[in-house]
Amino acid sequence: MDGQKRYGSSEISRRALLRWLAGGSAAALLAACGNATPPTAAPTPAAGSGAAPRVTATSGSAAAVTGPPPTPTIQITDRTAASGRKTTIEVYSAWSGDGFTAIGELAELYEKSQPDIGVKVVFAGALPDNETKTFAAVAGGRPPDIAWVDGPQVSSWAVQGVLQPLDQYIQTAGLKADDYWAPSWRQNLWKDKTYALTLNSDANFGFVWNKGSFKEVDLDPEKPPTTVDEMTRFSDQLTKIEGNRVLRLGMIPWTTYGSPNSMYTWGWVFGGEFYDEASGKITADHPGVVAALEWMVEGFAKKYDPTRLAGFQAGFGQGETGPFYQGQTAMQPLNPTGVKLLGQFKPNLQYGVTYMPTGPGGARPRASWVGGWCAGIPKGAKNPEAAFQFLNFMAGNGASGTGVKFLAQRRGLLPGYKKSDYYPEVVEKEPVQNAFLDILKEARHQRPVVPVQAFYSKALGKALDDAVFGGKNPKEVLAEATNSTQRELETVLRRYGN
Amino acid sequence: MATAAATDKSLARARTYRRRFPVRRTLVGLAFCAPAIIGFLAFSAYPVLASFYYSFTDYNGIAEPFWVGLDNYVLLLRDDPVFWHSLGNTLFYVGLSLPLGIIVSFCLAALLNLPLRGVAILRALFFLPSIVPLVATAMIFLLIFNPQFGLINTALATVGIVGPGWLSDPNWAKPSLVLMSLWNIGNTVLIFLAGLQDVPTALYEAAEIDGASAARRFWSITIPLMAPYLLFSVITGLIGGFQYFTQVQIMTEGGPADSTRMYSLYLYDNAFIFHKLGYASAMAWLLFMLVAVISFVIFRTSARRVYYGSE
Repeated sequence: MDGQKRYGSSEISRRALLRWLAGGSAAALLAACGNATPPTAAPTPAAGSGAAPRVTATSGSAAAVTGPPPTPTIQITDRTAASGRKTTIEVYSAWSGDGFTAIGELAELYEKSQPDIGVKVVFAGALPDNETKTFAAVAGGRPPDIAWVDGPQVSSWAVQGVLQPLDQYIQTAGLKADDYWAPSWRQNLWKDKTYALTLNSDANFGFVWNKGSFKEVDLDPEKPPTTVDEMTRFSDQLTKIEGNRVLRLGMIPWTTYGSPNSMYTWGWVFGGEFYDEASGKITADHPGVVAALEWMVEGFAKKYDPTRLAGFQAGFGQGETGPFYQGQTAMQPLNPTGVKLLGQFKPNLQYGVTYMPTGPGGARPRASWVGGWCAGIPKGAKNPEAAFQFLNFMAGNGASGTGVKFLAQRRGLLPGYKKSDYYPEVVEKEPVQNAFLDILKEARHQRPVVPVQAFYSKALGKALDDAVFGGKNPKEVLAEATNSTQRELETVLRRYGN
Repeated sequence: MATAAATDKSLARARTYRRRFPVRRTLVGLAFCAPAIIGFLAFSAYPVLASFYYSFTDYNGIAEPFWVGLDNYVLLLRDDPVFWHSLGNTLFYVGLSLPLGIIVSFCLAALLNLPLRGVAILRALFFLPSIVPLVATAMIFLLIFNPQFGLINTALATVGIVGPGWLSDPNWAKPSLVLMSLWNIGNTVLIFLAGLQDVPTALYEAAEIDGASAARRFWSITIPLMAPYLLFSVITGLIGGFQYFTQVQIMTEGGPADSTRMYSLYLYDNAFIFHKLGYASAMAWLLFMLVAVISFVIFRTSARRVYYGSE
């Protein structure tokens, strides 16, 4: 048996094979372990060209838009706390890229300001991964001391026992409900207990229009639409279609940061409500909400063929590759970060920012809503008192508000802490930020404070998609969303709510 | 002679050892297998059994699981339209991509079996796409399928055809995914190629001498002898197709208008977005039962027609 030569193959001696294996694995190891330099995606900053944005909500001279420096992509490595501290707290942050760096800098600032507490910052994944990671940490018995939680997630985390109430700490620190923007504060409450503090209150949205496009179709560039009817008429005027190709659309209402957010935004503009707290009923079939969806279907989808529009939409991406930035739509609701991107990437685009238009039928004007991130203390955290000290530094009156001011300045955000000095010192002096401040002041809504928020948002998004792309009746799809979410809500409350 | 005696001696020693230390033999064997056994128990068996248990509970991952009996299954089958919709989407996808994939793989394997020069390079080239990571493939195809600037529509435009919306059109989204699934047929092609090369050429020659046409040779020789490979590909393709997840999650997230909401996508949403782990586990076990039944039916109906080697 040993003497037989194998048919056709050249024999490889065992030694040679081992040599090849060793060499091959060494090469593979070197290739894998060598740190690939991440591509720097640093966009060229706006070279301060002459097109200064004019803001309609305030009168005043134009000024260049300020904001955080353009961000090169960096590798996120957890920030280790300063050594030799009495207590070290662990913070799960859901901000990535420059946001993560900013929190690291904030942590450093905090450590410099006091000798006892060290801060370790860990990246917990962006939405919705932050939820998975935080839940896993809590379930595994090793919760962080502070966790980032998105505004609408607070109530569902509270109900499921992931966060602990902060009321005693809030009282000791002398914070009051009044110190925060009302919608943001409402979002953090569940059964009269507070479960998080708001880091930033996003004014959603400012109505932004492209002055150049307005001029092109003989519309007064300084006169944005004030009502929904006017806006729809302007949109038809601004739309350019050549044969089968869409060259520009006045606006696409369902591209307001995704289907669920579009439903919320326009639902509120039309005077709708999504949740009746008194009766505990989901009201996605509220007449105002139905009217908003019908407007989207009749005014845009049916007129321009949704499949063609979807194809048009698919050519664009998120952020600065979106249709408004590329000049393919002329009107778009944007949040403060969105406007900042305009200044960064399209410095020659002349635009204005104003309140959202008023809906028909006596709807309340200037109907914006408030979003933004919060942070809370998970149940079972090892150092809740120390954690709250840092939380207060980030989002409250800690260290006379220096932490809040630093974060706001660094990231160009509007703090949830209404009483921050940042507002009179910086925001009110800068036209675009001041415009958003005005919008924030008028904002009365926040996403419904229900523990089935994720389910509700998905149901609303599905209703919008079914009506716009699937041709279904708006009233029916919204009724379905209402029923399915109501069932979910009752099940969750029965199981976990008390 | 010397070697024969030595072999006899070692055989005898082995027999004695086996007779005198039965328990020790078993233990030593188990000790060597222990890492694999422990790994299997901890990471495969336990999660499977746990998910079976959870499927009868209401569990959000944090609080204690709450026993609800068959409620999850009843709710899924009776009250959940999205369940049936996602199942329908998945069946559509599997029903289209599986036959197409197998037919295309078979034809490709037959072509790659031809004794051309450089056929080895061709085989490598056709296999290459299947080792590209799924996520990278998904991102690339997002660009290819783009209705305004993508490769396909631009190419169609040069001959004057207005391409459809592909992934943005509810009617074309699933077919687009089926088309994309043809990118990953490398493994199947390889298996079929191996099978084709196993068919004895003597049979072909005999048939040719007897006057059989190429088609006749194909249907009466190639297909029957390839039957085990075909069965294997069908079963594994079925299992994989029903679990289709990565590409939809990245490319469409279930849209547009829920046209690509696949079963596993809905399962993922239930488990990790809505925190209904019990409900999601029930979905997983329903899927298991469905695939098991289908596989069983396929085995039974094809047992007669599949020849394994020299049976």
